Amino acid sequence: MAPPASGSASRPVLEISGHALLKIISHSHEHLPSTVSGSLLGLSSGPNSVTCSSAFGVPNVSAAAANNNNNNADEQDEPQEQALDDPALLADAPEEGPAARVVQSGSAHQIQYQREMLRLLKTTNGDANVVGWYQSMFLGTFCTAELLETQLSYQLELSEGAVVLLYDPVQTVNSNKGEIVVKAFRLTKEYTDAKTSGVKTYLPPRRVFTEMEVKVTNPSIVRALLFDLDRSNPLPRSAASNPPSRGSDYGGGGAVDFERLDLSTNPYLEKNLEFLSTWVDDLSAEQSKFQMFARQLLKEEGGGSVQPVSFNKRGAQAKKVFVDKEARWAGEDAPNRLDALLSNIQIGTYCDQVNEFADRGKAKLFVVAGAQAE
Amino acid sequence: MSMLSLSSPSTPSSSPSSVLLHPLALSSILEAFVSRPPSSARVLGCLLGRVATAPGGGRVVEVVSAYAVPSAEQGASVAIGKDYQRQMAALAGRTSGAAPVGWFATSPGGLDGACPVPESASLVHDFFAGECADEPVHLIVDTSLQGDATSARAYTATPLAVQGVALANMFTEVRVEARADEGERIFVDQCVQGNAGAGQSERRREDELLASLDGLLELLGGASGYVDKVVAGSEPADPSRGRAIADALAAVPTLQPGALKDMLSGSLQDLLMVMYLGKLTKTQLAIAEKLTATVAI
Repeated sequence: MAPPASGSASRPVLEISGHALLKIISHSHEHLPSTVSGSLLGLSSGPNSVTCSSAFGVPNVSAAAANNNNNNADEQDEPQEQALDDPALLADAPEEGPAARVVQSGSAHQIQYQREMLRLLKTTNGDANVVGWYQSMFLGTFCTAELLETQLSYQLELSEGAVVLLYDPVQTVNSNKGEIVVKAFRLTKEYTDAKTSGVKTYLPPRRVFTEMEVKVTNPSIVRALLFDLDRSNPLPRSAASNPPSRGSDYGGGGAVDFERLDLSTNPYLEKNLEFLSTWVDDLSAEQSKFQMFARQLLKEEGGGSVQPVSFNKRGAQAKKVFVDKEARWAGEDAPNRLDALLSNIQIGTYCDQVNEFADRGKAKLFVVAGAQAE
Repeated sequence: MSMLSLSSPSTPSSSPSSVLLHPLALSSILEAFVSRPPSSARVLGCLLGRVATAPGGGRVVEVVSAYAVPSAEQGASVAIGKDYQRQMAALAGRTSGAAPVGWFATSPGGLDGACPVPESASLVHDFFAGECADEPVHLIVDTSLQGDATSARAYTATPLAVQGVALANMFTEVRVEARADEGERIFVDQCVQGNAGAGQSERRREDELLASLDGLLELLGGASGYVDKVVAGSEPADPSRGRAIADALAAVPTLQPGALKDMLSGSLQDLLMVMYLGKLTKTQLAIAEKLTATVAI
């Protein structure tokens, strides 16, 4: 999804260099269709903006074939976390921090990999400051319990401002948008507080993630290179107000522009709907759990039967047992709200994706229909 | 970027015949140059990639990424961090299938000189020959910004030996081509457009579609203009171009007019239905939200 115009001053901003994004892109595409993960390196300048200048990928759990405590090789990777000392500061971050704190949520293999990589980078004055992590997602699927868990541990142990960057290689190529699809998130304070306190409260789905705006910045020499890559259009431009440079040596004739004109809709829609229906099934399962629990509460309140007013064998009205509903809902045996919440958010994302895609498709179809009529 | 350069006249089958350069490699090299320690004027590093055999014989080296290796230069001698190089290569090998295929150096003095490859390069080249599986490729990137372009040139070395004693390396130039994966390509194009159109902060969807259509129209106009000119005799006919145009025209499927209309309306209905479903689902989600919120009270 393209980031909106820079009018939203309240949204935190993630400034990422083209180099870091290229590394992420290259890593993700190489390992399709499995998902990959890695670390983001950079600086965190203030509570509302994070700069990421580099990134590196971490080998897959399944490919590592090392002893890992986490099974499910076909699930998404669980990246490890490693917190160096105090990375939330600026250039004052100490070079040689004390012992690194390692959060155990990935295989030992990955943790060791990250440690070695950071050590090597430090020796060459490269960026060795972890500001977050990235993960590639498949067609917009990101709302899993593992992701939340990992991000939570990053935010608790690394810094408040740890960022997770999600790149979607499949959508970038297949959604005919001509732009890369990348999102960045943090968890809200509300969510982290609720999770750490262990109380089962209700949180509206909108307030779990803070979406961050992603801006791509490049150092000047790279921008000079980009100007060179511009293929100056030999044909005279029309009077339209479009800039003259559109393609690049890499792009084979402004191919990005022409991808937008692609009319095929079916494969993308089908895949999306498939995922959507799976998640809706999950959500309905969760909802039924809630229903069961509510019914159980009602039963207890009514003294063993579901009707609000019941008569037992002797014909007297059954006593109403007092049930402290709030305490029960927040108690131990209440169904876990997390999965329902995640399903909610994920389904919302799928719907948005499909809507956007359909919008664009409609415009193209109308254009073609109009051209055909002549 | 002046990517096309002379291909070496006689290429033995073991040395690379062309080098495909990914934007990530170039970006990594520039990044390393930008963040180099202030004392050094050049940056050296290793190139990672894959080697394939080209259909016409000869090797094609695909350079996917690169990283800088700490080095110190004093006059004609160069010291390279061997351990660093080995460890980084091992780490990189675990995440991707890329192996060392060569080395790069940035050239602060520009590439127009007669001898862009300094004397010390021989030693470095020999070192990297030991690291890479095949013969290494040497890439020089011009960072001086003197010319109009940031150019990169690739060289391969053949040892000159007299009576079996290797004296020096002769560097012959190899052709460099730009190559990118799908995602990389889209991103680079996006950057290029973002760079050039820096004044446009909001590009609406309709504008984007219009831009693409404009481009298409221009290309079509150019092709038909060329054909007109050839027919009128003002331009010599080029058979390869004519064939390309004929191929493009043949690729347009001929449909009955009704069939196309049916297809279009079918697609449109699909899209509308999916949109309706999407909005319906979102409404249901909102209801579910409200219910879950009130149930707890």
